[in-house]
This record gives sequence, structure tokens and C-alpha cells, in this order.
Amino acid sequence: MPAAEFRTSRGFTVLTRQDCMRLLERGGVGRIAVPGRPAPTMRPVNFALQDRCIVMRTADPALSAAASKALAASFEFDEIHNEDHRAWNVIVTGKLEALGDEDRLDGRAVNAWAPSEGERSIALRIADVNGREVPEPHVRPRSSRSTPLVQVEAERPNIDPDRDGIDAWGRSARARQVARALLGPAYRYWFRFSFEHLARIPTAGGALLVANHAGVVPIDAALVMHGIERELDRPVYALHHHGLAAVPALGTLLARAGGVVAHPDNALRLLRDDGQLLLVFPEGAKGTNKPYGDRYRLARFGRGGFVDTAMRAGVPIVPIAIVGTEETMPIMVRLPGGWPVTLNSLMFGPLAAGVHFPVTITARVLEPVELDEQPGLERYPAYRVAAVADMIRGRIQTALDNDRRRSWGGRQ
Amino acid sequence: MSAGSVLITGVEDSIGRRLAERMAARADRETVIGLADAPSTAIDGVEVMRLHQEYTELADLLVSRAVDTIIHADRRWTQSAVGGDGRSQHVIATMQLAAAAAHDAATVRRVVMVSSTSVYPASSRAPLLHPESEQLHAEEGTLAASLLEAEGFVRDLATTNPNLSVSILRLADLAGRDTTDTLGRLLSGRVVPAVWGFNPAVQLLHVDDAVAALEHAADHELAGVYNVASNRLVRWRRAARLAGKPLIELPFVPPPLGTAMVRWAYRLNAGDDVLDVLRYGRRAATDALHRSGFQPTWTAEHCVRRSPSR
Repeated sequence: MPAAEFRTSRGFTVLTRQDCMRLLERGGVGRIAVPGRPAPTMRPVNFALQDRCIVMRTADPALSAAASKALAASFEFDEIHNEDHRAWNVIVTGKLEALGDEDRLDGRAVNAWAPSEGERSIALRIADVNGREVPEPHVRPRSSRSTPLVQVEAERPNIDPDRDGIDAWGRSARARQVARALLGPAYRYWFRFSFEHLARIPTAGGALLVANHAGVVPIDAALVMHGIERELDRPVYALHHHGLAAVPALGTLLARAGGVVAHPDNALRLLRDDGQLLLVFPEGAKGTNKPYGDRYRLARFGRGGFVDTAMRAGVPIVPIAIVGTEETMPIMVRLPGGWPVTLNSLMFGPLAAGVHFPVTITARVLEPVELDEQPGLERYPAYRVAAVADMIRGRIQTALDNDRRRSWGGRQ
Repeated sequence: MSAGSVLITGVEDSIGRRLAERMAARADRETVIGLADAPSTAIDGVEVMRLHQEYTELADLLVSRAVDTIIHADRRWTQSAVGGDGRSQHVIATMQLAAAAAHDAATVRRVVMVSSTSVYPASSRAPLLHPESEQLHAEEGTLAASLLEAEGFVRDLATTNPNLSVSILRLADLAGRDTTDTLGRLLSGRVVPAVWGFNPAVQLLHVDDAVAALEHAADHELAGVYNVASNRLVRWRRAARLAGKPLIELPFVPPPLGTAMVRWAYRLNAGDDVLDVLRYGRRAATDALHRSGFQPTWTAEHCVRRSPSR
């Protein structure tokens, strides 16, 4: 049974990368699409999976030409049961290459249904793969027996499916469902949350989202994660301080909701190997614990470790400027020892300390920053890391200033 | 794998015994020699021998029987209940084994060593998925420290003898009736302990997959260190439910005292901080082994549900 990472609102489950690769290993007939004029060219092909490449035999001139030009292509492989709507598909994107005789990959491993003259071997190097499954019949199946399609080992004993299945990071499908149900109304009516330029967030592949942090009990992470999940239909993970993981109940709760302890190894694996969106607040606790007078003035961005990780992973950094969060819980004074006294608790008593004011929150997604560095190096020069961190901090600061001039009468 | 003698240590343990059985059943093997501490161990087709527990006579044996493959499946560190010194015995035995394999007259070409993912720290600060390349610094006296020491002897063997193919497999805890690993013992007790407020995702390993991974490593001469664990994770409380055991909630107890209590109640081997595992879990990245062409058959949930026979 595949690891169902989460069930989306449209009623399918997203397959893990591993499940996708396992399905591709079966080989068979898939469909390849290459750029063409006047419309993209699409062809059914026999294929086999070899060394993370889709290997095909074809005599089609359009495909051969695309391969020799090393064009980017998409590939789809599926199984569809019309009678009871069980189905899955796997979609691969990557670059094509033409294979010579001396290449390690060998198109002759492909079991071609209709071999023809002048065939050549071409390969699609997998850059990104994702897949979906409609696991349970949406309509009553005609036959009484309905077995899951994606089954790796038939002889395994049956175990009641784990409805709260978790992924390698401890993120749970059901916890996200609960979070969506709880956060939905707050997102829409309490904070009237909106994105600007949401399309700047990549819909596939890893990206590091960097935002400003505010509010004594910060709600920004939950809202951004909820929003992106809702609008773009893809999960978001967020880095948090390791101290929170050690708090009973809270640590487990954060992990189930998509929180990940801030450790470079975790971030690198999420971005590079899993190709996920990762949200980070480089200000950390310095951002959430600043007095109201310092609102929207970004604190130091740590040591820029997040830039180093993005360089190593070879993913873009997407800065996000969030306006409104500072007003949800303004810190009036700080008691000795740094304990914050919020306006919320002054107005409505200590019980209201955790309740945010209903402020309109806007997340403005800035132009993604493509890092001009070779990924995968052991380390990057500190001055370049610091320069990029500064540049990103500056862009968010500028966006915050501009936004506030527009919505708050220009007080700097 | 070419024909030749294979020597398997620790055949009284569940992994060593199954591995010896499988090797004996293979047509391409001439002789399978098993080393055991318990003289009563008998396996079909396997010549079971008992050496001094620190393998002092091993070098002669390797030469006289023309051993070309050593699978060091001895896991004595898991066997020691309170007061045992299985850990240090294992370290010394591994040192002797490495010395014997490096002997000029020895014909050994392959060494596969069983280690454990217990070398990785269980902590809120540690990476959630430990890669094999992680720089490890274990505190002296811990299980991780003695495992790393033992691994060190085998690593040295690889650096000084480039002709030898050396693999170290770090196995996740086995689950099942006869297991002696920490998580397995906790799950096979009458009640399963859990720390209040924590429900870590844990990795487990089925003994069949452990054996298959060792065979895979020997067949393909995988050089280097590889983590071995089941695919997917299981939440600790769900694991207890699948095992059909009631949970007992442990309040926060300061580590030395709490750990000692759990260790005593479940007869655990010393040195591993079980309370940290119950709070944060310990998970190793297994993609390197997957890339080498090995996929475990059983998921973590199956490991709990289906305890191996015997």
C-alpha cells in the first residue's frame, strides 16, 4: 500500500516519490510530451526505468530531434479502471538525451510492442516526479472485490490502514486535516488573509520560503502553510527551534502539523531530496519578541545558515513580506526578564493573552532569488552567504516599508 | 558471489542463525562456518564452532579453512541485561576479527559487519533522519561509543587493505518475540512504556529484511556504511496498539533515574538512553541502501504486527 502523505480536497492521495519510482519500475506504456509546433507533440511509448531515467525506443522523428537537442519533456504513466474509478498516475519531468551504443543505459531493455526500423534509444533523466492515486472507489464497484492497485507485496498481512499515516518528518495527514478545519475560518474571516503574487511560489520542486516573524504567539507560520496548501495544493514544512520539540505535547503537535526542527541536515533533505517547500523565519524568537515600537523592523537574520542550505540544495529562495502580524499581538512593555505584556492581555485580561486581534494580514510574495552557486558543495564562502542573506533581508524590509506606507499612513 | 568459505559470527542470535541457514542453503557456497557462544547451537549444513569469546584463535581458523567472506553478525551488545559486559566483549572480539582478517596469510576478501542505528543520537537537536555520513561524537560509556569503537576497527581494515571490500550495516532495532533490541524489548513486555506528551515516529526492522540486507551487502560487495531500516515509520503509541499491549504513561523523570528504572524493568542493555528514544525517536536515512538496489519487504507496522516465528 502506498504511503498516502495527505488526502487532498479533491479526493485523491499524493504518492510519495518512492512509491512513484516503484510504479515506474514496472515499465510498460507511458506518454511522452515534447515541445513542438504548432502544439506540443505527444506520443505513447514503451519504456523501462533504468538508473533514474525513463529509457525509450522510438523511431519517431519528433522525439529523436527533441532528444538530440536535449529538450525538457514531460512523461505520464498511469493505470485507470473505468468501472470503479480506481486510478493512479505518475508524472515525470526532466531533460531528454539521445543514447549512443556505448552508453550505460540501454534501450534494448525496453520491451517494445511494435518494433520498427530505424529505432533509436532515448532517455528522460528524471528531475521531478510526482503522482496521485484515487485509492477507494468513489462509486460502488461492480465486483465485490476491490483490491488496491498500488500494491507492492501481495503476500503481506493486512493491517488496518493507518488513518493518521505520517511521513518521514512526522507530518500527519489527519493533523493537517484538523488544522485546515480549525484554521479555515480564522484564515478567511478573522485575519482575512490574502496573498499577493502567489504565482511566484513554485508549484513543483524545492524552494525555501523566507518570511518575517511577528506576534508573541506567532500565527504567521500556520497561516502561510494553510494558505499555500489551500491555494497551491502542495504541502509546506516549517522550521522551528529545537527547544519546542522538547516541550511535551507541543513537540509532537508541531511535528504532526509539518514542523521540522531547524537543523541544516533536515532542511537540505527536505529541499534537495524531497523537493518540498520549506518555510523559515530567520529572525527566530528575536522577531516575535520585539516591542511594538520596533514593529516591521527586521531583526538580524541569524548567521544566514538558510542561504547556505539553499545554495547546497540548489533551490531558489522566495522572500515573503507579511504585513499585519505585528498588530495581532502588540507588545506594550517587557517585564524584567524579557516577559512580554501584550495589549491583548492588558485589554481583556491574562486569559486573552493568546487571542490575536482580528487584523487583516497580507503576505506579499517577492520575486524568487535564484542563487548563482554550484549546488552540493561542502561549504560556501561566508561573505557570499552573508551578502545574499542581507540582500533578502533588505528586500523584505523594503516590501514591508512600502506596504505599510500604503496601509498605515506612512509611519516609519 | 564466488565459491568459498563464509564465516558468520554470532549464530546464536536471530540474525546470525537465519543468515547461516540461508547461506547453507545456497548452491554456490562450499562451507559455512558459524561461530557461537552457546555450544548447543546446531544449524543444518553449518559447521558451528565455539571459540574463546574474544576470538583469539580466529586467525588460524581463517587460514586453515580458506575463509573468503566474514559476516560479523555478532550482536552481543544487545544481549547483555543489567550487569553484563557484552558490549566490551563485542568490541574486543571485533578488534581480534579485524586483526585476523588483515593477517598476511588470510584469504579474506569481504567483511560485512553488523552495527546498529544506536550509534546516532536520539535528541531534539539531532537531524530527524541520520545520514551515514553524520559526524558522530558519542559520550564515553554509552552504547554508541562502544559500537563506534568496534566500527572503527573494521573501518581501519578497509583503509589499510584496499583489496578488502568492507561494509558496515547499521541496523534499526528489530521487533519481534525473540528480539533483544531496545525497542523490541519494550514492545514485547507486558505493558509498553511511553513518555507523557510524546509520540515519536520510530523505525524498526524485520529480521528477514536484516538478513536479506546482509546477504545483499555480501553479494554486491557494498563498500562503506549503510543504514538498514524498514520503509515508513510507525508512531510509538500506535506500535503498542498494533502489538496489542497496553501503554503505561511515564511522567517526566530526570534522565539518570528514569532511564535506570526503564532499563531495570525491561532488562535493557546499558548505555542507550531509552527515554530520549521514547521522546524523540531515532530514525536513519536509508536512501543509500535503496540506491544500491535493496528494498526491505516489511514496513515498520508489519514489524510490530508480525513477530517472526521462533
